[in-house]
Amino acid sequence: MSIITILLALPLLGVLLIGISARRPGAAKFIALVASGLVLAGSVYLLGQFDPAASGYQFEQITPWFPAFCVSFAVGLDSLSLPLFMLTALLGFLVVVYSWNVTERAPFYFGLLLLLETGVLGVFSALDFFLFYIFWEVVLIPMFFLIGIWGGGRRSYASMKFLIYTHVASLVMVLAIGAMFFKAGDILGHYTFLIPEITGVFFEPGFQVLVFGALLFAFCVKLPVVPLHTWLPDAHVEAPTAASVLLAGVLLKMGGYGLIRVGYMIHPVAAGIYMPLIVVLALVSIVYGSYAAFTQDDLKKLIAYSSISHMGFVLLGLASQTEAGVLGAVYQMVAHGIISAALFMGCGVIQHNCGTRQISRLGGLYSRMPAAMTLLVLAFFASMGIPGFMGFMAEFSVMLGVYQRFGLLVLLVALGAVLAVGYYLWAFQRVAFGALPKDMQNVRDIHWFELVPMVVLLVLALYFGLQPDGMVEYMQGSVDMLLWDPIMD
Amino acid sequence: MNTITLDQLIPLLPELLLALAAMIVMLLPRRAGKAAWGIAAATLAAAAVMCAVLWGVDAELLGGAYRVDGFCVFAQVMLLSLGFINIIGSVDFTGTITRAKEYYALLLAAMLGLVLIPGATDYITLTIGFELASIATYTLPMVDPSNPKGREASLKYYLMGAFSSALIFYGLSLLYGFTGTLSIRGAAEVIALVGIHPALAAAFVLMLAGYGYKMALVPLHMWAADTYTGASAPTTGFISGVTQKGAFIVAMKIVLVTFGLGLSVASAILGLLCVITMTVGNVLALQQSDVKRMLAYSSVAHAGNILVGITVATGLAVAGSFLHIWAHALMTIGGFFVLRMVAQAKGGTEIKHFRGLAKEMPYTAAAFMLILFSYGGVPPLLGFWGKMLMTVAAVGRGGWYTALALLLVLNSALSLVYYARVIREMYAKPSEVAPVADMPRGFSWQGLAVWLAVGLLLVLGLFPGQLTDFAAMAVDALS
Repeated sequence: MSIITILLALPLLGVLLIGISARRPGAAKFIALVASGLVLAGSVYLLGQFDPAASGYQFEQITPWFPAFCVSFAVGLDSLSLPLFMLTALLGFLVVVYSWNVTERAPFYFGLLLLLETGVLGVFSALDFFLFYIFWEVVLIPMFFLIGIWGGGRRSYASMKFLIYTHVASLVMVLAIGAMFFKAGDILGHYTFLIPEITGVFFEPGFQVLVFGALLFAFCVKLPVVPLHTWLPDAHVEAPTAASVLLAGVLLKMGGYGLIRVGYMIHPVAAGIYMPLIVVLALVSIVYGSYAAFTQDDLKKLIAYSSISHMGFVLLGLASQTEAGVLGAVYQMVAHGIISAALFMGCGVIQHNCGTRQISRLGGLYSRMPAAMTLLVLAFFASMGIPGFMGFMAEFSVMLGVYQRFGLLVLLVALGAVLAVGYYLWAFQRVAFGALPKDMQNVRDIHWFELVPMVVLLVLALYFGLQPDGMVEYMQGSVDMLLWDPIMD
Repeated sequence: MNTITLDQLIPLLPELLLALAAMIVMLLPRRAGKAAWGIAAATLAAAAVMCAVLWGVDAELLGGAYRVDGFCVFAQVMLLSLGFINIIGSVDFTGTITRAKEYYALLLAAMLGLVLIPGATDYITLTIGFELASIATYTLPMVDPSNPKGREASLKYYLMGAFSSALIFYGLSLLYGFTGTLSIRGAAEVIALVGIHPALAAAFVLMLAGYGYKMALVPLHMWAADTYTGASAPTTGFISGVTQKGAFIVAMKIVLVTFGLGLSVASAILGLLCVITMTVGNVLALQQSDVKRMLAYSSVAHAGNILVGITVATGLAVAGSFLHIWAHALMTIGGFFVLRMVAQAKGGTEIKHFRGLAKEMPYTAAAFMLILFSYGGVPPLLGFWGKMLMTVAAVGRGGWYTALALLLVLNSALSLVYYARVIREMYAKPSEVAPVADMPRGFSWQGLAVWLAVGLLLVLGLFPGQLTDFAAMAVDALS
């Protein structure tokens, strides 16, 4: 049995224990902390054992599960999925810490967080398309409950919208998977759902175009890409902070990961054919996301729109099909995972302590909560791409790739980055400085359990911004895999 | 060959047992409702086991009118086990009525008719079985005199049923007139030889329409919502979860054996019916504020789902149909028992009665949540696998079947909207209607039936391999 299987089972075991001890609601958070902490420790161990020089999957386990239908329980990690797996384990642990003072239906809440963690870890480590899809769907349910129960005023609407959008997208993905299953079966001579085997098959271009179109739709909803993004601001605004952190930090990455693993790696020809469309979508996302962020009065909605803009960089870097662009895209996924998590945590601190996130109702908070404001502005800096933070490395790399491939189109991308500086600084100025509203004279500063996760995230963002080689070494293998492209070369 | 010998009766022991039990239950004294329940449940369990033992047997019986093979055994075991789960929970209901023993006698008679269907090799035997099952079920909804809606439900079901029988007989007479045989396989051979005559197409449409009533395909579904809502939970579970599934077995025989392969237009008609049934059922279900009515319309939609597999008609697709028949029957039986428990505890099944249910009846709410997710096709519950197999098979067949797969998928997404709504009301909303003071708590037989159904949905969902293997072998035996 692979250690990945154990890591997938640990949160589920936690759910079980929480269920057994449901009569003592206070125990739930400790169980969740231990379970997610063990997952984090285990994944750090995985990182130590991982050989970045080797190609292919490591820690593999393939066990037949449903032989009549060629489905197996297959997990493994390669240089593309390992960073995302680590990111999930890290955020899964930090949100449990961050949620330390949640008391409303605590067992249910922490159980859902753990279930969500299993789902996302499963998506990133599944090597069987069927398993991949099942984990993909498993992710939806806890998030639906987290938004629907602990959310804000319009939680019913937001949770339902989230469920419908992402469910429709994943069902379209199923159709694509089904088509690949049969086509690959015809070509290989035996039917299989194993991702490595199907990745090795070369599909005819006409077929690729059809399937890649379906996949592009499915993953662009998740990423999200304008115009399929409308579920995201609603879901973020209504979701409790921990759910927002996971939503932005890892759930969006599922879209990017899927696009790379299933889209680009299996259908490179179609990816080349769709390139103009993808570039347009990415540019629209970057510019529209930044522009929309400018006009928001709700701090959380602002961050949500900035997420759309930042995920546009992922799409654009992939579309450029240059080494710098693809590396930037993969790096941006991890960078955005870490930075957006810090952003949403900072936003959550303001909401919990001040009772509102309306920028127009806030002001002068620096005098009352200096620690929180310092962390928030650092997160803003990281997100707007100040050199020294991860975000800069990623976005610069993408822009380099875009320049190599598309020339001056890079100016449009830069516009998005410039707008980001504008809306963040303007928002921070209105929140932190100016007159303190009367009802906020006595707000308290950040709690320890909110401080620790934010500090950890910002330190990581700074560390990998100054020392990108450490992570790039692990990602190089996946970039090489992606750049094999008969049309581009 | 054509003489009936005593040893030929051995494979027929399950059927004989059912007939015997029905008669014994009928002869019981009036107040022996509980004894009748025990006998009926034990009989179904014993018959299911006896059928299961016949797995692997391949024998023609009764002068070629009846055939025990993989398909027959699989379908019989399926119907008998579903009937068994349903009957286990029925005792809470029959404890409140005076005609309990008649209820069980009718159920057993209906089961006898149903288990004759999979084994029938000609349309005479098949019709005898189907009519026996139908006529016995017509009376079930009105067995509780205190339920005024039951009579309406019963009458509607009966009138529609009688009409559908007329259509079936007309179709059969056309089939006989043009092929000279009523043998299910023989007719197929004649059709393959002489080709399709317009009158045969008419026969197909008439038979499809007749059985379509029983399957509750749109536009022949009007009875379903009223009958399912009006009848009491165990009866609805039986009609929707067991009797209706018999009609799908018939449809498999008509479509896959007698007509399907020779008639491409038949496939198109079926495809259209699937799409209309799924879409109309889901749209109507979306608008309901009564959860019982919502489940009734969702049953209509699921009939369309099951038919997708029969339309696509590859081995994988029909196996998917079988899996979905299992899933839908379990969900319906469990779901309607949950509705009965909620109605007892809170006085109704409107959406408002479900608010805050997670706090008041945590176990029931959890079971219902799993059932609803399974309805919506969320993995890894059993409701997911059938749809999945059918979708993948449809994509694999290509052509316009891909569009059918897409519509199945979109309908599945649409259906999740109203299922998720109920789950949200149970878990995310505060209670609105207080439970009645004497709310039943602790063990109940209907609760056991619910958890049996949910347990099977979970276990078969986590380990679907064996069931799919059996289903695939059953389909092999058919073709």
